[in-house]
Amino acid sequence: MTSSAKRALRVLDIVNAAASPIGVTAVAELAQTPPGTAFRSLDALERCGFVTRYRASTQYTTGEATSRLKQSLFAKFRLRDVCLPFLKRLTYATSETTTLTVPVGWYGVRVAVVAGTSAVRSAAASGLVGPLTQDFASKAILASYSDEELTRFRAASKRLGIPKALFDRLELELGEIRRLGYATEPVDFAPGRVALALPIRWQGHAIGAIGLNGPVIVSATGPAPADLALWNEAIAEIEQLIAAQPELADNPFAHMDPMEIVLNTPSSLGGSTRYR
Amino acid sequence: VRTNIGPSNGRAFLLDEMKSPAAKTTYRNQAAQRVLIVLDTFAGVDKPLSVAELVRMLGMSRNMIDRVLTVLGDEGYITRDKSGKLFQLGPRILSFASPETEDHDINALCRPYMEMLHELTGESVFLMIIVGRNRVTVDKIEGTGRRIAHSERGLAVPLHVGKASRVLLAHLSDSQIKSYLQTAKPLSEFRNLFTDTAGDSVDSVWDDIHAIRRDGYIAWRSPQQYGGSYLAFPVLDHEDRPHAVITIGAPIERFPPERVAELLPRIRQIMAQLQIRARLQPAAPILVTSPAA
Repeated sequence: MTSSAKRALRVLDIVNAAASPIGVTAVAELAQTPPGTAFRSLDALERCGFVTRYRASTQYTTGEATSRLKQSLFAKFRLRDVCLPFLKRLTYATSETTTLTVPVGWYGVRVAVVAGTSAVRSAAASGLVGPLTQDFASKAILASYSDEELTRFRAASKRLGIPKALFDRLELELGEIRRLGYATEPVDFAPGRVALALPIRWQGHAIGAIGLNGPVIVSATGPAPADLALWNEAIAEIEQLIAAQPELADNPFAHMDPMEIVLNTPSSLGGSTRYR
Repeated sequence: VRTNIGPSNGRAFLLDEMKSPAAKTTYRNQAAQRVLIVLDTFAGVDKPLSVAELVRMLGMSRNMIDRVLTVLGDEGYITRDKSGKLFQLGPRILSFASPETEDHDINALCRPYMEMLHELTGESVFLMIIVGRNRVTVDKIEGTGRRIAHSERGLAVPLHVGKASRVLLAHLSDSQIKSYLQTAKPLSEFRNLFTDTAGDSVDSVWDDIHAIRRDGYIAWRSPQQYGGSYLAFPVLDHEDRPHAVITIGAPIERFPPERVAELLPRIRQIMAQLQIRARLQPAAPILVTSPAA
C-alpha cells in the first residue's frame, strides 16, 4: 500500500504546486514515474475529489476535497472566529482589507481575510503561507518571541529559505516593532505611507496578528492618535475575550516542535505556486 | 463527534465499490484511494479522531486504519493531537494551494444545494439571511408550473414573523431571543401582512423555537384555502450559529404532507451535505439591534 499511496500524495503535491492546470505527462516527469503510473494516481485523486479536470480537459487542478480539508483546518483556529467581527469593524473603519495571520511552527499562515470596502483595495488571499519573516503581520508575531526562540528560528532559516542578509537587519526591525507595538510595511503604490499589523498577545506571546493591508499610516508622522486608539481598542477587546475564555487561543499545532513542521511555501517550491 | 454526511456520500460509494466483486477485476489503485478516503474523513469533523472511531466510520479493519495513518503521518497530512492519543489534520494541509475566496459567500456556498433541492422537488427554493431584526431573501430559484411559491428578493420580514424567520431566530441564544421578543411587541403588528403566524403569542414563538431545535427543520402550511406548503432548514456554522435558512415552498396541491414525507429523507441528505461545508466557515456576527438602532 505504502508506495502507491505515497506516490498519489506526491502527485497531489505536484498538482497543488503547479502554477496552472497540469497534464499527465508533466505530472509523470515531475514525479519521475511512467505516465501510466501517474495517470493511476491522478485517477485515484480525482475519484476522491482531491484533483479535478480543468474545464473537462486532460489537465488537472486542485479539487474540492483539498479546499474542504484546508477550510476544516482553518476552522480549528478559534482565534479566527473571535477576530472576524473585529476584522469587519476595522475594515469599515479604514476601508482597507484586513487579515488575520497565525503562527504555525516557524511559519505565518493567513487564516482570515475581510475584503476592503474601497473601490480599489488590496487583494489579499487567505491561505498565504510563508516563514515568519514573510510580511509585516508575521513579523509582528515574531517580535514577541524570546531570544532563545529566535535563535532556534535562525537555525531553521536555511530550510525556510530565508536569505542571510535578511537576518542581519531583522534584529533591528524586531526591536522597532517591540518599541512601537506594531509592525509596518511600505506600500509600493503609495509612497510615504505604510500598512500596519498589530499583534494579539496571550501570556506574553503573539498568538496572531491583524494586518491592515493598505496605506493607513503616513510614515513621517506615524498613525493618527485617534486611529491608533481605535485599532488598539479592537486588539484589547480581543485579548479580553481570550482572557475570559483561554481556549479561544488554542492553536492545533502548539504542542508540536516547530522544527518538525515543514510547509511548502513559494520559495520552497521554486516560486511556482499560486500563493499570493 | 459530528460525523461527515456530505462528502461521505461519495466516500461510501467508493468504499462500497472497493468491496464489490467487480473491484477484484478492475484495477483502481485502491491503496491510494483508501488513504485519500481516510484523509477526507477528517474534513468537517469537530474533534480529533481515534482509530476506533475511524474503524467505525469507514468500516475498514483496525490494521488497515493503522497503516493508512502511518502513511499520512509520515507525510505530515495527519498528526497526533495534544493528548497524543487521537489524530487530527496535520500542518501539511496548510500547503494546499487551493484558491480561497476572500470573503465567505453564503450565496455561492448554498446555490449548488439549492439547485439540487429544486431539481429534486421541482419547487421554489429560497435563501434567507438575518439582516438586523429581519430575515431577508437573498437568493431564490422559482418552481415550475402554473402556480408557484414566491418570495421577493430583498424582502425583509421581522424575525418573529413567519415560520422561516423563526428558523433563524431559533439559532440565536435564548437571551438574544428574549431581548428581541421584548422589543418586538406587539407581535400582532404584522398579522395582516403575514397570515402564517397571525395571532401568535410569545409562547407560540417559543414552541416553534423548541420544535426547530429538536427536529432540525420545520414544516408548515399557510392557512389560506389555496395557500402554500413549506419546509425550512437552517444552515449553521460549527457553533450552531445561523448563516441562513433555506426554504422550499410550493402550492399545497403539489406539496401535500405525503409528498413532503416522501421527499424529506432526500432533502435532509442534501441539506446535510451543505451543512458539512457550512460548518467550515464561521457565520457572520449577528447583531440583533434594538428597534431605535
